[in-house]
Amino acid sequence: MIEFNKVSYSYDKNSGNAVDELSMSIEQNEWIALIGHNGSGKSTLAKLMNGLLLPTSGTISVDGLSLSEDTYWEIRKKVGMVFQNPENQFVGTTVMDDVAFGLENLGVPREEMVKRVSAALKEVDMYSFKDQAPNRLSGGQKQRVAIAGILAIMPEVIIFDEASTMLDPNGKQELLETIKGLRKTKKMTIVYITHDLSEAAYADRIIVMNEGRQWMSGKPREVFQYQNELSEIGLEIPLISSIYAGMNEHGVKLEKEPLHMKELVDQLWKLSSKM
Amino acid sequence: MNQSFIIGQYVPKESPVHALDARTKLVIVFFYVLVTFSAETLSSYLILFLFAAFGAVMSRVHPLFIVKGLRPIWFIIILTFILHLFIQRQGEVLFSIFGYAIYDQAVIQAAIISSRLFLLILMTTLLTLTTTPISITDAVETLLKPLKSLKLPIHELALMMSISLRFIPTLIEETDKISKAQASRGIDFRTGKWRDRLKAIFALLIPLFISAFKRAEDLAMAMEARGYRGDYGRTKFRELKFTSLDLIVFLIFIIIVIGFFYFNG
Repeated sequence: MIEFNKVSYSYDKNSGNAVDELSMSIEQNEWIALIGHNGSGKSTLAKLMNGLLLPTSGTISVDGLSLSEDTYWEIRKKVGMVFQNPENQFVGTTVMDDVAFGLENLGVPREEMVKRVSAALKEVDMYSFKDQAPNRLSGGQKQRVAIAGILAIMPEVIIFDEASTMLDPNGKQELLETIKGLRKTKKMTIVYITHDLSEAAYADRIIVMNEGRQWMSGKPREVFQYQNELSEIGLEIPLISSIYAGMNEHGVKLEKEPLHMKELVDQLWKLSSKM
Repeated sequence: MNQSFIIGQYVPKESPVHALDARTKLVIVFFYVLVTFSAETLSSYLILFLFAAFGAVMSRVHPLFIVKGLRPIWFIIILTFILHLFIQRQGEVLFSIFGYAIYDQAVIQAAIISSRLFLLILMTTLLTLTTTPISITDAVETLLKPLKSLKLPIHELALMMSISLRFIPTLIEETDKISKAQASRGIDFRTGKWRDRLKAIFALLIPLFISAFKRAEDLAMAMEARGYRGDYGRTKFRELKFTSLDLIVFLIFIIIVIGFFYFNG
């Protein structure tokens, strides 16, 4: 779906590359978690994916379309993006107006727009809020409206650029549930950028970024085994994984490494019933 | 923010005036204002007043709201009345106060000017009470569309207006937060010399501006990511509908204007 070929990007000629000779590919319908500490180049990577930035060198292609100044409008139709601050990406005066904003930009006829706006709002379960002003919504709700705004455009990829960072725990859960729901009903590639490893655990594959390069890539279970290495590049292992590692050290073996609290609890119960 | 916050003074109601197309209301208010400035006779004023009163009644907005809308300008109306009373020195002397003569022409002039003011404000208040700011923005955009051929950035102006409306509550909330944060650091906004208070305001304004710029930057990025490229190939979601009701109101207004000029001599 998205191919990076030796992509470099620097914000400033004198400073180093924010993204450095990066090659990678993201498959269709894959849920990727992109993790890395601040300044690892993960947000730059996201902005390169939908042409908000153009690479200094190397090539990027999305759905077979090579990214350039002539194609980024096309690519933005394929790649939607949810940003960090829920407040600052809300353009419309009401929920409906905001969802329609992207469609207005694409010149979709009005009758079609009305249909797509309602469908997208139902998808994220925000239809009953359609006439509300943004200041009446919680952070999580605003992010769901932002997702609806992107769904209405019917893209192939949605990038979440630290979309959960400014949300409270409930909002985070709301956001993750919405993404999970989408994955059930739609074919959609998800790129989820975060520095919270427990959120990354939900992905099909984790890509760890460090100093503008791909540092590691693999299934959450595989990646979480490199605890010490991850802490060295400034990534905090989720509590569940460190419990698992600690138990291992003391000779208590679980069947497999748990990813979520529920898995851990289930396995602990099993273990205690065996004892 | 807990208290309900309504931008402008829009009062949601289901009335024929609310149902009117914002363009209709805007055009009528515009021409009403023009016509009012040429009013000279008593009967022409009466006609104008009847039209405004009819509008006010049909809007089903509680009269208290209208009076509230007029509140800031009562003072100006009364002041104009009194000034005209003393400054005009034409016609016959009616009576005198503290040895200062009041002329009959002055009384008439004062009455004319202050009722003119009153009618203007009444009509514009009626417009803002019955129309959401966003519909007014849309109406302005469509009405000024012809000016696009003169390379005037009408779409951009309208977008700026609607984004400002969208961010007013956000910025109010932010102001509230910053002023509390600064007050907790010992800045005093409420007491002291006006000069110190003015200085204290800077502690509020500077963070507010910085964050507003940050917001603007984020918003621009988000808009671009969603394919915003100015007016190019854009359609509109919000729709202004011109119905038969609008036609009827226009006809009534034209009759009123004809009647006005007939009685105005």
